[in-house]
Amino acid sequence: MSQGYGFDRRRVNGPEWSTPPMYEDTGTPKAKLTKRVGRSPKDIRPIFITTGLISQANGSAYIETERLKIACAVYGPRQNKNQPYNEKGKLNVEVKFAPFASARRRAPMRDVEDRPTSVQIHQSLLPSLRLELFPKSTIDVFITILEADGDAACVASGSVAASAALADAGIEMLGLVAACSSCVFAPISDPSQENRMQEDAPIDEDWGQIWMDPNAEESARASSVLVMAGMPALGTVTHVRQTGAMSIAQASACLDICLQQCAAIHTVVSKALLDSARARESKDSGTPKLV
Amino acid sequence: MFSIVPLAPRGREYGPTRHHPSVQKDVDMGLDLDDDLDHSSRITSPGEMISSSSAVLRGHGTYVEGEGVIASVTGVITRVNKLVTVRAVKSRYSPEVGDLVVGRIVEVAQSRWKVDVNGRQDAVLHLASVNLPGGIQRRKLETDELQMRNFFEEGDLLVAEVQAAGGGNASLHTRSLKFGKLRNGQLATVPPALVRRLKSQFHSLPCGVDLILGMNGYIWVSKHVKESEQLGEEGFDAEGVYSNVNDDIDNATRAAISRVSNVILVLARHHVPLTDMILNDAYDWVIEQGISTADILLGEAGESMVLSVTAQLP
Repeated sequence: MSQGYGFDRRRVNGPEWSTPPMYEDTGTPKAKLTKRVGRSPKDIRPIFITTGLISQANGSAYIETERLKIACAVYGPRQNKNQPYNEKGKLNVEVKFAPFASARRRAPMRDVEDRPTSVQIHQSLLPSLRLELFPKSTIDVFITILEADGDAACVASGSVAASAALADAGIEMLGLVAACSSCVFAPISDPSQENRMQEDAPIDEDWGQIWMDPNAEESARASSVLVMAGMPALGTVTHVRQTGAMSIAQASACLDICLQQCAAIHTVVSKALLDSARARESKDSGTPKLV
Repeated sequence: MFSIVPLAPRGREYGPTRHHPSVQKDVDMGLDLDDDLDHSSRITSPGEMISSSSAVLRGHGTYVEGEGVIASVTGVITRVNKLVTVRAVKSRYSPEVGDLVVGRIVEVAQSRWKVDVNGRQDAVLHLASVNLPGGIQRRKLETDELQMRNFFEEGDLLVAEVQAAGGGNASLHTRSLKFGKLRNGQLATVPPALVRRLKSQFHSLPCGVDLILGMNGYIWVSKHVKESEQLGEEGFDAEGVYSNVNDDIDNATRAAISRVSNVILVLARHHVPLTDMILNDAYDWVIEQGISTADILLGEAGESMVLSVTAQLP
C-alpha cells in the first residue's frame, strides 16, 4: 500500500484507482418537451405584480408569473454600520430560495445558487439607482424565491420585483428596470436551416426559433439561455448574460425580442406602481382641519 | 440588428396647483404647459418624462437627461411657478429644522447619542443639547460624559426637536421640559407622510391618553400626565425625567392606550392622515360600537371605522 501524500491511516481509505460508470446508449430519442399551453414561443408568461405587501419594509413587491413566485422587500436607505465613510450609497442584494422553492429541497444557508442569482440582479439594478444621492447609506434588497421555475426566469423576475420594490420605497432612480429571458434549442447560423427537423429535437415545431421566458424544463434542455435587463423608459440596457452556444444572428434576434418584451413588462410594472400610488393619494387629498 | 429606443413620453400631465389670483398671471406667463392639463393623471413613475428642461426648473424627485426633466420617484407631480417636483408617495423621513420627532437610542458614542428617527441616517443627540440634572443652565462636565448611560441608554425612547438638518442628517435637542425620555406608554409606527404639521404635536385625548405625533411617523401613546405634575420643583426633576420605571397605570388606562394605538395602526393601514380630531372620532366610534381592542385590527371592524371617520372629513 502506498504511503503517499494525503494518506490517512486513521480513516477507511478508498481504493487506489477507480473507473467512471459506463452507460449503454439505448438509441431511443429524448423525450419531447411538455407543450406550452396558452402561449406561443414568442410570448412571455402573464405577469401579476403588486407592491406594498410587506408592511414593515420600506418598500416591497410580489411578482407571480405562472409557477414562478417571488417576494421582495427593500429596507433603507439606512446608515451603514461598521463600514468606512463612503461618498456613494451601497446596494446589497440578497436572494434566498425557500426550502420548498423547487422539486429538490433547498437547504437554507447551504444553497449555492442564490449567490450568482443575487450578483446578476445586483448588476441589473445598479445602473438604475442614483446612489450618489445617498452618502454613508445602505439600501438592502431581500428577495425570497417562493417557487422557482427556471434560473434565468428567477433572475429576470427577481430584477423586476426588486425594481418595483425600490420604486415603492420612494428611492430615487433613473428608471424602472424590466428584464426577461429567452432561449434557443440549437445554435443555427444559417437561417435557411431553421426549419430543418433533427432526430433528437426536443420539441416538435418551431424548434429552430427563439423561445421567450423559458420555464425550468425548457431552460434545462436549451442549448443557450440569454437574460436581458434594461430601462425601457430611457431605452437603455443594464445587464445581458448569455450562457451556452448560440449563433450571433440568434443572439441579436434574442436581444431584439427581449427589448420588445421589456417595454411590455415596463407598462405592467408602472401601472401597478401608479395604482398603488393612486390608492394612497385618494385618501390623502382631504386636508385635515387644524385644531 | 436590434435597436434601442426609449419609450414615447406619456404626454404632459400635470396636477392642478392653485395660486393666489394676483400671481396666477405670472405663473401662466410664457408657459404652454397647462394647455393640455389632464387632471386625472398627475401621478408619475420613475423614468417618465415630465416636460422639457428649458420650460421648467427641476426640483426634488426629478433629474435632467438631455432635453427633458424626468421623474425619479413614484409620486405626485407638484408645480410651484416654474419649479417642478415629484413628491414620493412613500419614503423615509427627511428631517427639517423644528420638527418634533420621537426616536430610539441605538448607540452611545463619544459625548453624543445616535438616535434612530426612521431617516436615511441616524440622528445625533449631543450631550450638550440635553438637560442635565441640577439646574437647566449648567456646563457639561467630564463626569457627565462618563455617566451618559444614566441619562439615555440603548433602546430608550425619547421625544426631541430637530435643531439642525442637512442632507438626511439631523441633530436633535431635548432642551425643553416637554422633551426627554418617554415612559408609561406604547409606540405606534406609521408612514411619515401621514403625520401632518399641526399647531402642536402634543395632544391629550379625552379618554385619558396623551399623544405625541412625531413628524417621523413614530407616535407615542401614553398615560395622561397632569400639567402640574409635568413641571417638578424648580421646573426640573432629573430623577423623574430620566427615570426608567413606569408609574402605576390602572387597567382602564392600559385598555385606552392599546385601543388608541390599534386605531392609529388601522387608520395608517388605510392611508388616512392622522390628527387628534380624527383619532378622537375613531376612538368614540369604537366605544360606541362596542368593538373589543383586538377586533379593531381585524378586517371588517377596522374598515367600517375608517369609512365612518373619513365620511366626516370636509
